[in-house]
Amino acid sequence: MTTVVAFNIAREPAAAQVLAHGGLTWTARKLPPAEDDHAALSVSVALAGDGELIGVTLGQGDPSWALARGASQVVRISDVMVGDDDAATAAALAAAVRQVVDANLVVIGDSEHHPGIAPVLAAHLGWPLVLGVSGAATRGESVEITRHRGAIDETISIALPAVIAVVAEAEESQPPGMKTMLAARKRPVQEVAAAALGLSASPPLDPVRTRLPEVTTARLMGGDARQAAAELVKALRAEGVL
Amino acid sequence: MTTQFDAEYDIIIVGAGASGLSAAVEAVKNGNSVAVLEKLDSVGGRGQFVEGSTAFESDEQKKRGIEVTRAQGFKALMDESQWRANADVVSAFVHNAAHTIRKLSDIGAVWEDVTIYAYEQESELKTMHWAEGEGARIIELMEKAARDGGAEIYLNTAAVKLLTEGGRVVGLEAKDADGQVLQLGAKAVILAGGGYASSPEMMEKHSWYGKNARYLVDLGTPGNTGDGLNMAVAVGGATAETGSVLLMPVAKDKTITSHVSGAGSQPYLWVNTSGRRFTDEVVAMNFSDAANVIAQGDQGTSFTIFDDATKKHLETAGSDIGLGTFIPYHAQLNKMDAELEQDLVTGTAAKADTIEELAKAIGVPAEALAATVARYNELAAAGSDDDFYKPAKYLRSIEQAPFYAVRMVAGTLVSVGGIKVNGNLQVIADGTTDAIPGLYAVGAEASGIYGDTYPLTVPGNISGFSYTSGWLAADHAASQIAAEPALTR
Repeated sequence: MTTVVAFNIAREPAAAQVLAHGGLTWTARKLPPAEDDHAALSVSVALAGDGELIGVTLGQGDPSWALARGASQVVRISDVMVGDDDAATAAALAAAVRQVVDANLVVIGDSEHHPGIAPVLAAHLGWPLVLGVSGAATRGESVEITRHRGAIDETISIALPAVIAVVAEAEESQPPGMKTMLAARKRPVQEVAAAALGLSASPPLDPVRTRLPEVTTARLMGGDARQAAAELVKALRAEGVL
Repeated sequence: MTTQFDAEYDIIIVGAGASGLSAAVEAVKNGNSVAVLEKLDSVGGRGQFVEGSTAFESDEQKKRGIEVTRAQGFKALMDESQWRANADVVSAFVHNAAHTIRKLSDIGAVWEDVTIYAYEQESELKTMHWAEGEGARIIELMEKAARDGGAEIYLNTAAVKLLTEGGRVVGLEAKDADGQVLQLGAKAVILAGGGYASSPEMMEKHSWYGKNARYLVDLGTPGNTGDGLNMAVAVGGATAETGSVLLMPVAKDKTITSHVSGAGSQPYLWVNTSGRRFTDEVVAMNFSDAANVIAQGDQGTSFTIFDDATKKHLETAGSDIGLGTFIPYHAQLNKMDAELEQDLVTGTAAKADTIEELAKAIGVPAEALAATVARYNELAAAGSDDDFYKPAKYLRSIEQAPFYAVRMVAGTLVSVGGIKVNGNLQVIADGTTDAIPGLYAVGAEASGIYGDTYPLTVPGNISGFSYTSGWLAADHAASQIAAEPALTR
């Protein structure tokens, strides 16, 4: 069994700078890890056990982030950037997974803001998917998964190959130290070009503009109750509510 | 022998607080490679508690029709320090503080107001720029800008000692989150550790309060242990005016937002451990000076005495003076009863039906306190304070039982004196006027704009200086790196 972990695959809203006029700028360099990435990595390390754990990421991904946390190698599609098109992201990740020989388990963060990535990735691979995973362990040839569904703790057994999407339940408890992170940078990364995988480097989605939401103000009608009620009815009619 | 480094950077910044992150943002903008080492598990340090920031002739002041010239700022800071401040450093700060406001706007800061701190303190300059979300928001914006620009921020990673070659600082030794030791090369090191307020030993050794420093209560984050100062001194750096510390009155074992603490900070009757009045309590309007007074007293303690009528006044009309956003002016201190349930048990406050019983409860001589209260009531009735000349409106008589006492101490916000620097924020070698090549100190790690105390009359100055000195040091380091071929290899 070769386990694959996908990381740095979603732009979290926190990574955006919202400008005063409503425009957005995104960091042009490395993507910060998405909020579930560390949990996905931790689960993947546990599942890989003594086997290989291969990281896959896209252009703004930082291979050393996964290498410092237990990945033995990283495959990066260096000219496909994570953008607004989650379907394109998922397609690129699927192509990267196919580069990994004998891969039969993909662990990925279950992004709240990009919920489509994991399902589309699984669809591309043609593998079953479990979302909302909080923990997992290998049981022979299959994986036993735990997840919380409302008030219920659910345990699921899934045969491989499969994709599991992990939800972080807490902050990363013990990030690696600086020395480990620096050492991880020196390890080789398998860089792959989009063209070699039959992918387009430019995303089909091209955002035109963003703007701040309209500010809605509350209006208080005080004073005499009868008069306030009349004003309220008048205002509701003017707004087309009545 | 040339050191073998685990990694090399253009600039290493020690400390990810207000000054360190400001340096990081500027350094990456200048195209330098940057590592920021933060010994705590999160960024921000005491910069998270900043309320506002000083600037002179800023766009935000002009927009609001406020005129505080750089010349006024320079003069005020020099005068407040009794000209013990370093004119080069003050000039650099005053000249560039307005740029800081613009730079912070550029990364997303929104300025809600430019104001003063205490409304009745006539000598205050209108320099305090209040950002939406205050200092915590500025920290958040700077961290993001620094990371987006490529700065590497390492948490739980402490600088241990500076490395030098031929008199130049060439890097430092650090211990990371796993306890592993690293040798890191740098063309410049910027010390931004925020001073020594977290270290009781250094407070006793360096602050003006001497042995009374042991009674100070540290109100900030625990990382400000003077590492920068110690490392700079170890490589021959000089110190200057190390004793100045920014303090704030606070009720013992309480936070600065507590209503009991807010009541204790009002300019009513303050007595010492002998039960005697000892100052004009209107000093409360300037929290820094007020805490200086308390810190110098026996056991660094005073008691604020008031009666039930004054308590009701605080609960309904509100506080007579404010403590920034922590206790705003005229804030109704209506949580006192809830807090007192615990505070009367812990000894933070006392309540009694007679002054004698109150004296017993707080451990001061009953006769002395009774005499003090009698005299105070005499002054209140006369409407004139012939003892310490407090304005009559704060002479609130103490007649209506029950009577209250709040045990007040001085809380440490940050030390503001330390490593001797020049106007470029370069660390000066001890006994010389020369800078140590490759070494800078910024923010509360550096000395330069203070004499023996923190001047609240130029409100927001430590945060303004921290932000400004950070980017100034980064700019100077970048120019040195570019100018010296040996450094750019």
